[in-house]
Amino acid sequence: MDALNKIITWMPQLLNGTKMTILITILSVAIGLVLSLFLALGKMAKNPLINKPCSAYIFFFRGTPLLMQIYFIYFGLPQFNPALTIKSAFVAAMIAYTLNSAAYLAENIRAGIQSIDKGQYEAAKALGMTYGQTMRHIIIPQTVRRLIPPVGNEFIMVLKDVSLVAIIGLSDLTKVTRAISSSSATALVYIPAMIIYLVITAVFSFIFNRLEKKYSVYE
Amino acid sequence: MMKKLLACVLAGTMVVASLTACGSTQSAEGTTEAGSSETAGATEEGSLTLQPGKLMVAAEIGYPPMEYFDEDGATPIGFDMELAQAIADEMGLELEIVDTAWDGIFAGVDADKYDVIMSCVSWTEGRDEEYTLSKPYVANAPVLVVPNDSEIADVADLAGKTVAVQMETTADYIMQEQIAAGVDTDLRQYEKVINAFDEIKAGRVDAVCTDAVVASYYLGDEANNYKTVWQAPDAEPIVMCFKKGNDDLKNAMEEALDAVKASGKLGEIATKYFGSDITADME
Repeated sequence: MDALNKIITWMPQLLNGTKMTILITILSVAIGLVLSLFLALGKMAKNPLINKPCSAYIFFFRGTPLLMQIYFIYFGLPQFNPALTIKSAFVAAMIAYTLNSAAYLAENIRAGIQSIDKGQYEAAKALGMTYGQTMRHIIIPQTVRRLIPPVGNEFIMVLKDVSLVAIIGLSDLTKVTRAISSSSATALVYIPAMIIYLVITAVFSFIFNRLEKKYSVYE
Repeated sequence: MMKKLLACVLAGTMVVASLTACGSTQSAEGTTEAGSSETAGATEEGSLTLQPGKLMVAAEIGYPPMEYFDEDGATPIGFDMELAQAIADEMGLELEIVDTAWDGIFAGVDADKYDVIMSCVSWTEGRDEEYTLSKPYVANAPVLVVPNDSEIADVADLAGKTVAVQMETTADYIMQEQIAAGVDTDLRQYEKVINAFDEIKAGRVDAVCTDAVVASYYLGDEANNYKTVWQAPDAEPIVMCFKKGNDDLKNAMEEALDAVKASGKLGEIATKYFGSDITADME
């Protein structure tokens, strides 16, 4: 009972951290998704002036640790040029997570688009559609359903990667948990914290499953 | 059907076998640990340290000038490190530095991962209850560092301002006490102390609260642009931190510390890292 009382007193702090965790996850995956669509189309473009930079971007953000990217954006940039100082740690975190998840999502989207049967392109061409029209009306709508599982996956990855924001002084669920654990000299707080992570994951898995079912009607 | 059943049984046996294998090694370790905790720290008879002939010292290397890496990025140097070496030499032990994250460094000494923590550990009442602490060897107190043109002149002026600290340090606790006492300041906690200084140099925080011994080092070339405006009233000297009850090793290391001090070596190391012998009037 004593343990339960402790957990109840920690709850407000834990929920504050949870808010930060969820906010960064949702915003960065949502914005990252928009950015990634352009990156994916860019990487598939025939023009090397478009596809090379897109490939390089994806290579860079997938090939370096997210921890370093966050660190560099927040602490590194101001040292190169004071004009690049990002005032708010939250904005810096958002930028880092968005840029990073866009790179991963772009590869998912590209795989999704390329998984669509070649016949679809040929049929669209036979109907006189341009590349843009084919993409907009034929390919991307079919890709959406196939994208839901990998996007859900990325979402859950980001949810846990948000624990890295502690290095720039933000208090997400993991940071709050560690702070409570060291000030109360017990690891008990890890139990409610892990349950909160599981609840968030369960809720969003449910949402993604529903979305997948909804979009399946087209297949 | 039979084949499946057989496979299940086989798999089950293997799992059980592997579990018991792990279990037995663990219990073997458990016994040595249990034995060691009775004699508080000594693993083998007659040895003060966990591994005979070896003194394992934990430090969060990244806290200059107390403990940091030399320019090669691999050799631990700093006040604590040289003192640890001098003490180990005095005791005739081989020194092993264990680089440990500050967050968790105390749990490590409880878990017998190393013999002692020498990592700019301040004496606090809480730590004194939970661990066996040596007598202090350097004076220290958290101070407030602000830019020269800052209006902040005292801790009370932090109201409505932001202050950066390294999390879980004495400076962090002092700021939390100040907040609890009604100073309405925005406390930013960082994992590394250098980040707190990065923040003030980037103009994103108004002040840094940190140990006096490290402030000048981190400001580096820009030291002239900053000033120290406030010092925590209760100076909290630096001590060596042992597992609770490990008095044998504590006494032996204190004795070695006295010898290092008497030989003038301690003052020499202090002058090298702090510019003056701030250990002179410690007792």
